[in-house]
Amino acid sequence: MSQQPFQYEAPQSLAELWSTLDLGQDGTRFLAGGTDLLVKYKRKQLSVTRLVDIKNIPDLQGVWLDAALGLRIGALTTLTDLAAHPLVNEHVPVLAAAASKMASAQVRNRATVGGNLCNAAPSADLAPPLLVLQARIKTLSAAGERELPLRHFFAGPGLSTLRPGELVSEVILPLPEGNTRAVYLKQGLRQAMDIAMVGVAVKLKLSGSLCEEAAIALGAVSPVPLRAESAEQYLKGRKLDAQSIAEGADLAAKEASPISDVRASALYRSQLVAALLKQGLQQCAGILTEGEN
Amino acid sequence: MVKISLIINAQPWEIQVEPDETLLDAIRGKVGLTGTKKGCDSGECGACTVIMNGRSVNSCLVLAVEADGQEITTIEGLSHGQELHPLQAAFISEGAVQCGFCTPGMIMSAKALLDSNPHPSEQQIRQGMAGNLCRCTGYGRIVAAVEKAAQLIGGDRLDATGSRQTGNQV
Ligand SMILES: Cc1cc2nc3c(=O)[nH]c(=O)nc-3n(C[C@H](O)[C@H](O)[C@H](O)COP(=O)(O)OP(=O)(O)OC[C@H]3O[C@@H](n4cnc5c(N)ncnc54)[C@H](O)[C@@H]3O)c2cc1C
Ligand code: FES
Ligand code: FES
Repeated sequence: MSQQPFQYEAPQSLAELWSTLDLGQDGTRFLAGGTDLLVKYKRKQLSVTRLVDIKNIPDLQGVWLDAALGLRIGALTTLTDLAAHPLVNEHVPVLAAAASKMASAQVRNRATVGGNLCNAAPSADLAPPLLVLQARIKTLSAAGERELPLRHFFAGPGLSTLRPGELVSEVILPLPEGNTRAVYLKQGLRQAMDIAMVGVAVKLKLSGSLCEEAAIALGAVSPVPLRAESAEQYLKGRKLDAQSIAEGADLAAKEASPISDVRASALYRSQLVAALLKQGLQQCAGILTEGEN
Repeated sequence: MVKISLIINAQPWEIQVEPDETLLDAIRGKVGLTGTKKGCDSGECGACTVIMNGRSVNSCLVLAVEADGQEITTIEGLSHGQELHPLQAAFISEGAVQCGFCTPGMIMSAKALLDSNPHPSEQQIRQGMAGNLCRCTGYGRIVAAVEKAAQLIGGDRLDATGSRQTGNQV
């Protein structure tokens, strides 16, 4: 690729990783699926002197149910496996659906959950559904492990709060309560293979048409994916009807701070937030009322 | 340079690669199999699609060093001597090839799709092939070719009303 090539290593265990990791070196990068990293490297947007392939480390793999914590998803889980996994489909179908609509089959076969979050694109499609599912992130470093809520993970476009030499090892999802429904709606320029102009995730806990809890997350409309808290608070405890849905959608649009770029203008993005959220609220409410009657 | 060993189309290979060399460049430049095409070199077009350990991948987004010890199938691995794979035969008979640049990638994506879902609907074919761009055909004939290949492989036949019946697997 005509740049000064990097040194490549593929540790087989965490112990091997920590014993060889040199944090003094600026261009040390972790490689998962490479679908973000290699594209940036080729475009000369990323300097790499040492590439540490983490794919062979068993501690970062697997999807399993933990009685105390909920669903635990290893950082190396590919989007293909996330979309197909029985536990994901049973407990958090919104996440399986979101993964199945990302990128292409070829990219989904390589791209990982950890990579999608660590790349920290404002448009990362897993971020809004994981935010409404109240995901927690488990990290590992030579110094030990930590756990933090996903909402404290993103720090800006392309930036996370990971410390140097720290890995994401798992995403942990508390199991949603009964009577909750969640959807993720994404608008791109074309149906397939496009990054989101706007992504909206909604999770509602309903009792009849009364909204007991609302969680709303927006992607691609601010420097980091965010929860639309004023809309959430407004909807909580309200009856979902045409008027409250429209009001909630307007409130969420005001919380977005989108930019104009090649994909869409800021104004169009704000209007899309309202339109997608309206649709999302209707879908969640509709599914539930149907199910309960 | 780093030495890697891998299996390509059931043949073992040992090659020397740069750490930042893509699997695509290694397959074309070192192994000499030029059926796999380089279009965008960034995951967008699918011309470089190969099958690695049973799954389709963009070989422009895989480093050759990552393929060490892995099993790869390229378009050259599909035919048996002069006998074409049903997908290749169907692409020809349905007129799904014009300039042909996208065809190897299209066929590898279609193979991965049919291997995991032998009887896809039209919608599933379009979704499964969404990572492969064609600038010539308009896709209709490509979808038709994949449907035909699915019939050839799966032994499907159409009944009198035109709806599909699943026959015995061959
Ligand atoms: C054609 C194409 C289409 C795409 N479509 C979409 C789409 O529709 N939606 C979408 O959201 N994204 C899309 N993407 C972007 C990309 O595929 C995803 O963000 C993917 O999930 C990245 O995962 P990865 O494993 O490939 O990450 P990598 O490229 O391996 O890594 C990305 C970054 O995260 C770091 N990293 C990776 N894993 C860890 C870890 N466990 N701990 C610490 N750091 C880590 C790496 O060092 C790197 O900086 C697309 C990409 C392409 C090429
Ligand atoms: S050359 Fe690999 S996807 Fe275009
Ligand atoms: S036949 Fe020319 S690009 Fe598809």
